[in-house]
Amino acid sequence: MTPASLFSTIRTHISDIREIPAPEAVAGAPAHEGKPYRDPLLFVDCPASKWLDLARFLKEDPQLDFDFLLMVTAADYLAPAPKMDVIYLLFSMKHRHKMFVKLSVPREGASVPSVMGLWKTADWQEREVYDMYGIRFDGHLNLKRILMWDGFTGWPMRKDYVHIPDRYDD
Amino acid sequence: MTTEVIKIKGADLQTEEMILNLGPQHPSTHGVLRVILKLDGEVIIAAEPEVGYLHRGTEKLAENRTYPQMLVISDRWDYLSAMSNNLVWCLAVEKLLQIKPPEKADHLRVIMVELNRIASHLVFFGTYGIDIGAYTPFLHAFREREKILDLFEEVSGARMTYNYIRIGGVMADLPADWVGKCRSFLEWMKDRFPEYDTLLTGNPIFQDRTKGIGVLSQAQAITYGVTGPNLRGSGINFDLRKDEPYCSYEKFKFDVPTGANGDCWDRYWVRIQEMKESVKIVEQALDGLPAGETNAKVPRILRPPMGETYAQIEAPRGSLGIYTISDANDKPYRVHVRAPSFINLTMLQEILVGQKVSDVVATLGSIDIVLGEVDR
Repeated sequence: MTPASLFSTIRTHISDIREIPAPEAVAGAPAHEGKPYRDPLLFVDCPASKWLDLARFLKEDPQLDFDFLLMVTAADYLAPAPKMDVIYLLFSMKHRHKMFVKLSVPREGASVPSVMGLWKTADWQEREVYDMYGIRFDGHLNLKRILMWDGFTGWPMRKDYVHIPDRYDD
Repeated sequence: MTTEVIKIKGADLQTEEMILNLGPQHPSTHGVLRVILKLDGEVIIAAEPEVGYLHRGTEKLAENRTYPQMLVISDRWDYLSAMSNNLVWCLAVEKLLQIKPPEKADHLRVIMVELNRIASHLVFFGTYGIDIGAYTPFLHAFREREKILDLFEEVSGARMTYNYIRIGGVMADLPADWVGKCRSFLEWMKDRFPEYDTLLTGNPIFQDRTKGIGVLSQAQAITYGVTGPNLRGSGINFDLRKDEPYCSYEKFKFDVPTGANGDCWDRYWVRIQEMKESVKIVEQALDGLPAGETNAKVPRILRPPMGETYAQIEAPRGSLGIYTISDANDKPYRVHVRAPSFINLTMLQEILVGQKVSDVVATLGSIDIVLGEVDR
């Protein structure tokens, strides 16, 4: 399916989603910066409260059939408005189409529903996002640090993370 | 009379579940991985892999390095197939920069990546033999791998961290007479495959240890996001080289071997067949090696425009992806590595349940993880 037809199919069932437009060159930017590039895929913005409904629909609708969760990650933004994005990349083994879903959440005390029940691969990937960004996943059965050690404080991938010197620095 | 006494004595024996730690320091974990096993007798009732011992924070490092500087670090993810890591990073940055490497560079990339696939699967072949208790195949596999490393040393100067594939092309053209050396290696390699079959593949003890062990069903493979030989071992024909070709893979003729039952044996068999396919691909790439430039014109300071991209390739361990966000700066805003080893390892907690302790190492070895990539 093309990105446009994917979006219209999803839109008829879940109305709260919004398509994220491709980035445009800043007016007056020097020519050597070139034209912005984004993969020609569907990028969708979904409120965190609707994510579980959307995920179930994406997985179970036979036309969409997103049975493969390729990647879960996040990105932290301080400007223009402070926010964090939880980013999912979905793939369909049968129809061979892909799409991105982004959930915008506040930087502090954020939580999004876990999709571990739909795609088991989300188990570790959500733990990694929690470990690196401190975003909680409601309904995750084993939400604890995965790459950093248990006693570690802070969220290392956040843009405002400051490294506290320890005995390994010198 | 005696049996009766024993029965009465045994009646008050307490049986309890036991926790067994496998690793972090254990030769079969191929690095530092800890698996906590809960045992009922010798049957596993729960398994929890613990990772992170090799975490170096490469995603954070990427945010403080320029695009070409990050290439050096990419070598350190999956150190058994550093060429694949170089390639996927370059593909991602080239997409952002919207440049296309010349045809010759594509061929050189394919040659290097496929040779690296053979080297990487050879390590699997050798160490998997050791895991199961056969030491000899390891010596054979490393003899062959040595020859590939020699070839790589000639083109890149390094034996593990090549840094040969560069943004916009490759580091340098092939040295004189390299093609000949590569061809003679391939001819020599082809005769080694029957040797491997007599050494390990056809060994009835090896087959007993792997057939029907660690079965991963198709549905499980998909829900766990498993890719690479592990997915194809379960009988799903999915290979990015065929399904989403990059670097002119569509020009080469090769088969995608798939297994039937998804057990350790199938995962092993798929890798052995893949080595033979890789030999075919390298031969075709050498035959059709075009003349011309090895590098596209790339600015000295890379400052990709705003944007985001996901680039993926079929690495020896599965689909390796790079997700980058660029904010029109000389350093990436965000880099995420979709590491196939990390995601394939997730399934271990499910497929180990119900197996015997002695099969843990056989199952773990068949997933073929590299801890440098799991922990990044």
